Amino acid sequence: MTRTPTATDRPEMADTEELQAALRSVLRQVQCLDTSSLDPALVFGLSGLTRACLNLQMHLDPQMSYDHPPTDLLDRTTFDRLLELAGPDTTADLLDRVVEDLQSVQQKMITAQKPPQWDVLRSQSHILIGLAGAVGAVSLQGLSQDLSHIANAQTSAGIDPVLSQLMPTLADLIGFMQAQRIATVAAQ
Amino acid sequence: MKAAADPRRARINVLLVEDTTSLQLIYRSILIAAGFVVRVASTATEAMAALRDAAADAVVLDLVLPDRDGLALMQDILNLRPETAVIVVTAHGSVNKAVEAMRLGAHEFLVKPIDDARLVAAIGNATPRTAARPSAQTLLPADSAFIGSSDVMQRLHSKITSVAGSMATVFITGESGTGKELCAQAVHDTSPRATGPFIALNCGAIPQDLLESEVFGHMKGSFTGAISDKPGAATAADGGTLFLDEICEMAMPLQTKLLRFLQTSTVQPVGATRPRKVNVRIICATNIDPMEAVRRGQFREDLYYRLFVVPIHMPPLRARGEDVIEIAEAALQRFSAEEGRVFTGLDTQVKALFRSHRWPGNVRQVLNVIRNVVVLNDGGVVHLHMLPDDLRDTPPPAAPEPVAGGTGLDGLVGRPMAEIERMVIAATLHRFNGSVPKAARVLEISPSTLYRKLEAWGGTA
Repeated sequence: MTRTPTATDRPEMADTEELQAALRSVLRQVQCLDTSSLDPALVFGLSGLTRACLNLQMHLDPQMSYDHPPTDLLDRTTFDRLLELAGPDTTADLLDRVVEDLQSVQQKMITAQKPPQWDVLRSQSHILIGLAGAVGAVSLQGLSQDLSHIANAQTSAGIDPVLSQLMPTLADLIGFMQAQRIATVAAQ
Repeated sequence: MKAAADPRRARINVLLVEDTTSLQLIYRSILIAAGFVVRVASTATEAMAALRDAAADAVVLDLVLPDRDGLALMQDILNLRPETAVIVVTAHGSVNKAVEAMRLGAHEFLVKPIDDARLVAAIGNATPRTAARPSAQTLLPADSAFIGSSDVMQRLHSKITSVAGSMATVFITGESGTGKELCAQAVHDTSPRATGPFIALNCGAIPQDLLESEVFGHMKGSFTGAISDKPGAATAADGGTLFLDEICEMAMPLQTKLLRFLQTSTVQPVGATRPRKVNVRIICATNIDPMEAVRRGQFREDLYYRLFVVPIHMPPLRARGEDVIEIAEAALQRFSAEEGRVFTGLDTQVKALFRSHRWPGNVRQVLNVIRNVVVLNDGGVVHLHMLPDDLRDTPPPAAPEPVAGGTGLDGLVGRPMAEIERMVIAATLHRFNGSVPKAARVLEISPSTLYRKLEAWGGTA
């Protein structure tokens, strides 16, 4: 007789890690898509997929997404201080705006990569330096500064290595912020 | 560091001009939490409309706006409301522009990402009417290098007072012995960071392979001899001022790390896996021309522009007129007390010699001479015979002869490079009837560099 799974059931640790890795991979790929040329219905479907992946991630390990972002992604102290400054009434709004601005940067960078549109890359790296630094994403801030250097110098040779690190890190940060948003609303 | 709300700030109106909505909300939250009254604008048009509607004590202005260049907007703001303190915000890649902004009248510039304490301090400093600031006269040091009533020193005191309240990086230039470290200490002591640490590091005195560890620290076991964790000077200066003397002596790889530190305000000790954020004001100094070091490839140009925000030139003693007498008399009094002697003053011949001497070692040399006199003599009035032999026997300086048109290399070989430079400049000025701009053009140096050299030589080449 097959037992019906309950809400408290969790996969084994190895399965959990594999699934988390797969979810991260899906999220990165979805977030790195250039959605500007896609059918609106498809874009809507992708946003549903993103939410579903994030919910699943948090179900697998609620603590991971909410309290323990990867240390190389975010300085938790800076981020918590930011939320404290914003206060509970503004936190959800702040996270919405952060996600919106990060996604806007992400989309513009995707379209500006090949051939490099230096003005776009420069202006978007300018936004990202300020925003990543403000939320405590130190490594993304450093990569954005590297990109800013490259965009100012207009050296095509250096752009791929930087973007190959920057874009997944940006996608991870967006995922984390979206998860934060879900957790914040759930807590209210 | 969280900036606590201060009720005095409730009277300070701030206009925040930032187009990225999340950053606008973040900066607004920081300013409101600190107690300021905040309005926001997302575009240059909105900003001008807001200022026409009502004045602001301070404007926090992002240089990159969707509808207009931030610098052009700043000029319009200052034309409309000249009393407004504009604090320019910029990210990496536009630092040159920020330096230009300071020259065009910006009160301060902050580099993104903005530390909340820095943002609050910048506005507090920009609006002194609500924040009691200490008087420069009461805080400037009474140390020997700062004694003197010459015009050039009065201007220096005034500049130190102006810059102290700001977070702007100060770049002090001047010959050895002119008091560059005292100047840095004076900026720190007069600033809102006076209660924080003042950490001085001489980049030229520490072996290059140890310098990174001295500046940024190291973790136990990160290299042979690292037997324990050691916080570097940058960490030790958290909340205060880090003074980097002889900055142009820093090796290139470390200059890159310093640049990154200035951009991110984070330090990563040798062997550490994660960076740590610190809140440090940088003051640096050199006794060489930093731009010349850039030209020679000895100093990174981007680092130069990052650091050379507010330059302060410490004048050589020979350009300070009667200050040498005031310094010598003050030193005589102080050293007499320390050594238990009674000296009553300098005689007229000594004063004349002091006025005509070139003092290549500047204030430090005067202090050494007076200490020598006090230690080796019993007291009374200081006469010529009491002075060290090398000083007494120095012939009075003669102005170098202009190089005649036909003088070839033979006339220059055997002379020190500094003298050759002076001779060439004198001859060039002579050829152009004393016109500094014309001479500077021919010599391919900036007029300000030429003026500075002339000032260092006592006004004439």
